[in-house]
This record gives sequence, C-alpha cells and structure tokens, in this order.
Amino acid sequence: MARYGMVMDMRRCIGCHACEVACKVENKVPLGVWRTQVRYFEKGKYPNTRRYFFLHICDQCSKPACVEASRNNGVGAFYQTEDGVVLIDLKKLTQGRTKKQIETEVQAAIEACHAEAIFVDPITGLPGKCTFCYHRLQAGLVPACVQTCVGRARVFGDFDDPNSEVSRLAAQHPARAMHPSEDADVGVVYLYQEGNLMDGGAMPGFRQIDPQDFETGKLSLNTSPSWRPPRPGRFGTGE
Amino acid sequence: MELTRRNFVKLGLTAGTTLAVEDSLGLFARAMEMKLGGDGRLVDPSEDLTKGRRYDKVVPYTCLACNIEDGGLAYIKNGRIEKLEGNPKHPSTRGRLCPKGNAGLYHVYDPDRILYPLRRTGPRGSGQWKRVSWDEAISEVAERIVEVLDKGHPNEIMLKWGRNRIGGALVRFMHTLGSNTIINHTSICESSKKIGMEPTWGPDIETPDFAKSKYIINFGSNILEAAYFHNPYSQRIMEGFAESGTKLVTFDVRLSNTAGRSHEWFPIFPGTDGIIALAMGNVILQEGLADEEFINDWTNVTVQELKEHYRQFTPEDAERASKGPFGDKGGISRHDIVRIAREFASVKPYCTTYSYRGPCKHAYGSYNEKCQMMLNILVGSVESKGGYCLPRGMGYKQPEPVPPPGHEPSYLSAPPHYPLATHKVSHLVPFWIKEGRQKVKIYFTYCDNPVYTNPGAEAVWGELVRDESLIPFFVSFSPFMSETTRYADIILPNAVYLERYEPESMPSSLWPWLGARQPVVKPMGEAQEVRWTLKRIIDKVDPDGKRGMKKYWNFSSPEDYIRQQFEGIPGLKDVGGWEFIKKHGVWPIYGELNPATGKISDALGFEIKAEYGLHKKELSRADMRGARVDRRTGTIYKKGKPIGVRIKGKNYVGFGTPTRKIHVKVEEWEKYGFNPLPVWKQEPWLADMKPDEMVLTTFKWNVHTQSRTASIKWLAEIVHSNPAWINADTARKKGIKDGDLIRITSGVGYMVTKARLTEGIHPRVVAVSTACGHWAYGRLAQLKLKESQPFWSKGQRIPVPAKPGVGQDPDLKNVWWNDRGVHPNMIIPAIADPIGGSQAWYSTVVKVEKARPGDRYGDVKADPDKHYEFFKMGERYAYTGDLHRKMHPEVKINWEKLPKPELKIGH
Repeated sequence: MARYGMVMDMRRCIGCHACEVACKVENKVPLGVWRTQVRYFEKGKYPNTRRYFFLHICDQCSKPACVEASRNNGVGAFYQTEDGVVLIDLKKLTQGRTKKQIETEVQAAIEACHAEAIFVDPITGLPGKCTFCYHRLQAGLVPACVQTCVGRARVFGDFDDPNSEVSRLAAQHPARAMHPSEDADVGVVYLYQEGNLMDGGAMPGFRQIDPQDFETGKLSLNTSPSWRPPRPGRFGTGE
Repeated sequence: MELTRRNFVKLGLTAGTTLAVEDSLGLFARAMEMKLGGDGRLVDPSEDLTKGRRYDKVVPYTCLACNIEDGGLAYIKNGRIEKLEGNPKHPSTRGRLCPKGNAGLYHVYDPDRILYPLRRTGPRGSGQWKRVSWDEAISEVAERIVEVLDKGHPNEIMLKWGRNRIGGALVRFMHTLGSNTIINHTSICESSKKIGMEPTWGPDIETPDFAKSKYIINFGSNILEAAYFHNPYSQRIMEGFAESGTKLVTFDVRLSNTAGRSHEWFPIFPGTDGIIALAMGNVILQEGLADEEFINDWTNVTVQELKEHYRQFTPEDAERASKGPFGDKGGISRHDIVRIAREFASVKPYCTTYSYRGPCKHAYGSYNEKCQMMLNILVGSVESKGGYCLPRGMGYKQPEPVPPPGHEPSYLSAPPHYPLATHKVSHLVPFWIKEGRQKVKIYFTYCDNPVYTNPGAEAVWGELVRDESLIPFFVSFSPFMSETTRYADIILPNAVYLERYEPESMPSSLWPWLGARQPVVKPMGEAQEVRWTLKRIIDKVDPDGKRGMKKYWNFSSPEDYIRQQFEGIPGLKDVGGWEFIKKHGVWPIYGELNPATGKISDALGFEIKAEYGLHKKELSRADMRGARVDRRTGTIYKKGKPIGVRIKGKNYVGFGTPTRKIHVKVEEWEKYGFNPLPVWKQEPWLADMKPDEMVLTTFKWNVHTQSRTASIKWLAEIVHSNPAWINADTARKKGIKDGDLIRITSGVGYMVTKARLTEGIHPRVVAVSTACGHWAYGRLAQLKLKESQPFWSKGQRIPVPAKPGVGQDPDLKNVWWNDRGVHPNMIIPAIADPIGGSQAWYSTVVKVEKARPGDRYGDVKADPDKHYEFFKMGERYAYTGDLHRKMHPEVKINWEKLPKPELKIGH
C-alpha cells in the first residue's frame, strides 16, 4: 500500500507563490481561502537579517483529527483514503441532511484541525481542503503545486517505498513534521525548516486564513513585520 | 564491501553501462513516481472531486506574462483555458511556471478587457468612448498616416513599445512607412547594463551557469523574484544550493527574497556596487589570484596595466562608500571585501557574478556594470563551466522582402548627445518633444504604459499625451484600459498573448531554443492580433501598391507570417519547420524531463551536457581561406570583417568585438571623454546629501510585472499594496511607527503612503514597490469593484452568469483587501546615464516625515516644471554638457576636440 506524501525541501524554496497560484487555478479555489500558502518571515536585527518561508498545507495526518471529529459529530464525511490522503465526501456530507447538521460536522472538523487547513468555500458554502490533487494522483500526475514548483522544493511520492525520493530525502536530511504532536507517519515533512517558526503558538502563520490578519499585518503573504523568537515556555502551547 | 543501495547506485553511476540493469531493479531515485504533469487531465468540480477527467486538447505556447518566455502548455475544455502548466520539453524552464505564468489565463478572462475597437467621443482622458467597427477605425488611422506621408516627413509618425515580442512586425511597419521614430522602453529597464557589456565582449547579457557554480556574487539582482531569467535561473540557483554547495553573496539595499535567501547579504548604500567590485578586483590582482594567462591572451590590456589601474581602488574606500555619506550601519567591511574576493577567486573558474539590474540603474550605471563584469574577466571564469557564460540565442527570419529604414534621422530615436546609448533614451522623449527637438503627429503605443511606468508618470508622459498640440493623434493597441491608453483617440485592441502568433527565443539557459506563441483559444470578442492590424493599416494606406508598401506585407494570415519566419532554418527544416514548433512549442528537444531529478535527461537518463568555451571554437581551414591576421592584435579579418583571433598559434572565433578579444579598455568611450577603463562614479546628488535626507528606490515583487498584473485576481490577492519599507531604527528616530502615514518628498513632488518598518533595509533608504497604486487600470487594480463592467468588455463568453456589480467573475465579490497601494513614479525625476542612457531609478533624494495634517493616504503631487528642471540638470552630465568634464578629471584627452553631436539614422 502506498503512503502518499510530500517533502518540503526548504533549501530550495524561493517563496515565489507559484504553488499557491497553481493550486487556486487547478482546484478553482476562491479568493480569501487557500489549500496551500506561502508565508514569509524575517528574522534578525539589521544588518543580520534573513528571510524564511513556510509552506502551509494540510498535513494529511496519520490519525486525522478532522476525520474523527466528523465521525463523532455527523456522518463522517471526512475520510482518509488507503493511501493516506484526507478527503471530504461532499455527497455524503450533504445528501438528505439539514444545513445545521452539515454546519455542525464541518465546524467540528475545522476546530479539530491543528493546522487549520480546512475552510468553508465562500462560493459553494461547502468545506474545502488540500486533497493532494487526488484527481491528478489517480491520473498518474503529481499535485499541481509540485508540478509547477520552480525551486523543486516540493517533492511528491510514496513514503512506504524506501527507495522513493521522498523517503530518501526525509531520511538523509534534517526533517520534521509541522506540528510537534505529529507522529512519524505524517503526510507532509519539512526539511531544513526554521524550527521555531513552526512550533505551535510561536508562529503567527500557524493559524489559517483570517484575511483580516493580512490587513492588520499580523500575517503576510509577502512580508511581515520582523519576527523574533518567542520567550521560552511559550512553545507548543498552541495559543 | 556490503552492497548497500547507496554503494550500488554509486557504482552504477560510474560504470554507466550497468544502467539498464539498475533501472530494472528500481534502484534509481523515483522522486515523483508520477509524471510532472502534461497528460491533459483535470478535475471537474461539478463531478465527484476525486475523479480525473481528460481535457479536450493541450496546446503548447510560450508565456508572456512577463518577458522570461517560459514554455507552457494550455489545457482547453469547451473552448476555454482551464489550466496553464509548464512545457516539459522546454530546456530552460523544464515544465515549471512562475506565479504570473500560472495566473496567465486571467489576461484572457479579465472582466475589464477591451473587446472592440473604440473611438474617443469626449475630450482626451474623459473616458467617453464609442464602439466602432474595425473598418472604420483602420480607415481613420490610415487617413491620418496618409496625411503625414503626403507632407513628406514620415518621421512624424512615432511608435513606442514597452514589451515588443512580436518578432519584428512593429519595426517592419514603421520602416514600411519610412519612419525611423521607433522608441522602445529599454532605458527605464536595463539599457546601461547592455551598454556596460556590449563594447566589452559583444552581447548585451550573460548566461551564468548557476547550477554548476560554486560561488555567485550577486550585485543588486533580485533574481529569485524578477529579473532575467527569473524562473530558469531560480531553478538552477536552487539546484546549486542543494546539489553543488553553491554559495550566494548578495549586495542589495533591501532584503529581497534573493537577499533573504543568500548565504550573506550586505545592505550597501545605493549604487556603490561598482567601487566594491573594483576593490575586490584590486585584491584579486595584487594577491596574484587572477587568471593572468586569460587576461594577457584574451583581453586588450595586460595584467600589469590592470594592476596599476586597480591599485587606486582600496577596500578601505569601498567600505566607506558602501556605508553611505554618513557612515551608516551596514555596508561591507574591508575585511569582508578581502575575504569574499579571496573566496571567489579560490574556486575559479567555477564562479560568476550576476547583476540584473540594480547597479546599472544609476547615472553612471554603465561603469557599475562594467566593474562587476570585470571580476569574471579577472579570474577567467568567462565561458567556463560554473562561470559567466555568453548568451546562447537562436534566430528566426524576417520574411523577405524586408523594408529598409527611413531616409531621415530621428532625434527621438537616436539623440545626438547620447551617442553611446544605442538602446535609446526613451524616458526623456516627452521633454524633447516638448522642446520641439522633433515633431510628432501620430503616436502609436504598443504594450506600454509610460504614464504609469516611466519616471514622472502623469507629470511627464501624462503632460505629453494630454496635449493635443504635441500629440495630435494617439493610437493604442492595448487590450486593457490603462493610465496611458485612456488618453488614446483610437484603441485597436490586440489579442492577449495566449491568443496570438509570435516567434520567440531567449538565452535563458545554456541550451539555445526557438519557440512560439500560438492562439490556444480564439481571440475574445473582436480582439485582433496586432500583426494583422498592421497589415490591414498598410493595405489601407497603400491599396494599390503604388506607394511600394504592400509588398512588405505579403502574408495571407497571421499564421502564414510566422510560418515564413520559421522557414528554411537548418535543422528545424528537417523535422517539419513551423509545424514542429506548433506541435511541441519549442525546438530543439534536447531530451526528456526526468521526473526524478527535474532536469532534462539524455537517452541514458543523465542530465544533458552544456557546451562551454564558445569563444575557443577554432576556425576551420575553409574559414581561414583568404583571411588576414593582424600581427599586432592577432585579429583575423576576412573581407574586411573580423572573424576571429589568433592566440598562441591557434585560430579562435573569439568574442563579438572589433578585435575578437575582450575589450577591457573601451576606446569608443574615451573618444567622448568617458573613462575607457572600469571606474566608479557616484552621482553628485548622492555624495552631497544632507543628513536628514534619504534615497528612494523602487522594486518588483515576484507576483507582479511593471504594470500588467495588478488586475490578475490571484496575484493581486498576494500583493495588492505597497507600503514604504523603512529601517526600524531610522523610523524610530523620525517618530514613525509601523503602518503610520508618511510623506515622502522629492525634488519634484511628494506622496503620502504607509510605512512598513523592517530590519531588512539600509537605514538611509526608503523602498516603494512599483507594482501597485494604479489609478486607471482595471476595476480590481483600482479596487473599484462596485462600478459596473465597462461596455467594451461585455459579451464575453464566460461559463458563469454575470452578477451585478462584480463583472462576470463571481469570485471578485470575495475580494477581501481594501488597499490598492500608492504608486511612486510620479515623484521620481527623469535622469539618464550619460553613457548608457538608463534612467537613474535608484538615486532619488527624498525627505521622509510623518504625514502632515490634511495629508490623505494616496495623495501624490508632482510639478511638471520641476520635472523639466531635473531633466535639464541631467542633460548637463551628457558628453555635451558642462558638468561632463568635471566628472572626468582623470581622462586625459583633448577636451576641446570632443566629437560634434551628430544626427544619425539608427541605433
């Protein structure tokens, strides 16, 4: 059985947003919500300043909290395929169900997700999330974001195959999951990611998708006010 | 030895022949078990989300969202572009597109696009238009042309383009009419870079071998975001990072993505790149780290001469300059200069510089460019693996017969007081027209928006095109209403780049290629590609061929035109000519994109090899027959033309210079009183700054071009505003907080914008992006989404019904931002490099303060008369000006006998 996964080789990310735009076009994702996103962070005091990128995307967790929440609060429209991809069965979610029932299930899934990778599509009113472009996988194609990745930072493959490029990269380089609570079987692995940026609570961009955050400058798709490491003790609090 | 997988692969790679066995064992890395796209499938959201479905067809094209010219594939369903992807057959871009390229289909489906010819009905710029037929519009244009022609001065017809990638048709049109008044946009772009390079080694650009380089010194280039050639070069720099251990050192006033991803970033004072490069060169020469054989053999100077010349440029002086006139924090220390010079030379020839295009955008930018180029010449990394290589281009043809240039010289096209600026000085044209140096009766604008993109903006170009006595008739080919096109008298809407035929080639990697655009869908509405529009105009001007013009436009269709351009090209001919390019998008096809490596592989699965040392190709016996060798220089001449150079008994093709060697010393420059050797000159207005002043610079974002992308919804979502970057310390001293309204005042005007405090900028610099702040582009760029769709866009076939107030894209009601930015160009004066003619974008002296009472966000005011004064001041530095000699006390020539300014046909 395959375990589809993505390696984010942050040595090679140029922050160009090609992945983000390719995803929006491929999956017709409306403005204001994202399946994947490039975020920028500046670190350090002038003139010792550096810029880091972070690629936000659904982790495709091994034991997805959204799937469990959806089962506990509805009909279990969120499910995980045998090859590890978390998808939403929209027919199951909507057919013969009241608006309230749908909302309850979706809201539970959204709240359960540590990455806030699930959103409500403002045009259809239905939930959306990264599917690893499952329609493309079935046709033998890598996800759209991987296909267009200019720096070749996004690499896609099968973690169950020890000879795959994703397995090799994850084994041979400093690699970690986005969230400290994730186990080894996560679907998205980051290489050389500036660690503090990702730990819960320390990274403002950890939270997903309130466009208001972009307006206030709390979050930025291009740059953000200079970021400083959090005080010790705030790590992992998820605040 | 234990046969681990790693060992096995290593063995296999050295053996090579065991490849087939290995592959069958599946031991090669299988990065993307799946293919990198290209099979023409998609999801249909109306169906189950997890089912793939085939497209109707896939059409190859060449991107023109910006000017990098990536290879692309358009996926078409029901006559509509659903998705754009990179063309995996393209040797430079290897199947990948940047964000602008990915968003390219919105150029076609922009709900504000002009779909029909328009005639102005109210006063200029009033926004009152009526739809007219193509026939009416073309007849009117032809009549106006005939009027001018019949008075005998075809030069009074001016054409100025911004992005001309249509394969020669615009020049053909102008020469057919007999006019030489052909203006480009290169002086607001990179002209002084070209002028810094061309006399030295021939071509106007370099193609560094980044992937194989060990050390890259980047002078002011934001190559990971914009610049030539962003996508293919970014790919290769990242490849270098991950696979070759490439080190990247960046000099930039601002922390761009490139600077932010470099191993070292030195925030230097604007324009001091030149002196830093010279000081490094000095270290390399004095410490014996130069490739002395290369210098002595291949250049027109000796090592000894260079050592003596370079001695004056000390690391101490460079350190001082790099911090700026007030010794600010940042810059580069003398120790770092010495260290980096040594590091760079220690890996020669696997090292290169890059400079597109910060250093050259100063009043003496040509010198800056030359200085940084010299580092490669000093260490002999020119045309070496991992080094600073010549561009590899490929040509297509101009269909015969080709019209000759007009008879009269054009002042605007070849200004006599800028004789070395062979890429023209386009941004000074409005002043020259105003002063009556040349008359213009008709102005054609093509893919250009000077009222937005040029220094002075509305206060310079706006002043010109608003004035009907200066521009009596103004025609635009633009498919979009813009700051410039809104002043047109007639609009003849072009097809956008995905709807038209154009030949293409760019030296964007070490593998030369030919490609093309072709309509992946039919043009929307009545849009018509400009080649055809031009032909129709000529047909009207010269209906019976009596004017001798018709014969130059012997094409039965736009496709027929491009077919003629690809006819008879050796190699391409054998595989089918145009039909091959039409099918594959690009030629030659060097190999297959290897999904495991992201590189183009040969039949055995290894990366294709590049060719190096182009200058060392030896001339054949046939070449040498009847040739003559100049004994002093070694230059080989045939029929009076230099064809190569003899070095140590071998006959090489050499470089594209008159002696076929590298001209470190450029005598042509000395003739006009410029220093023929690499030197650094600082703009006096920067040297004489006052302590409370700052320097305004501008920059590009990775998701935007100069002016064509602010209405592309996916790109605008990422970057839609452009607050002024200001160093946090500087801001604190001025009492400015993040997000505060500030007033930036230059010598010509002021703007009110927001401050963005950052640790990523030199303390004496304020930086404002030019991407945002449109005042007359699409509704999205201006955030005027409540306005109804303009009538000229109606009738588009879009699969979703229009909703009132938001045009025809229902997604536009999800626009969540409310800041469109403030554009800075109006307060930037127009000043030209006296050598290369480039606009000095990065040396505007300003004052920055908190906004005054009554200032509102978005206020921009500039005085046209002040702009004129600055223009006059800038001309004093031209070789004919009174400040020229003062700037060049070291040049020992007979200053009384400078050549007289001459009106010439050409450039």
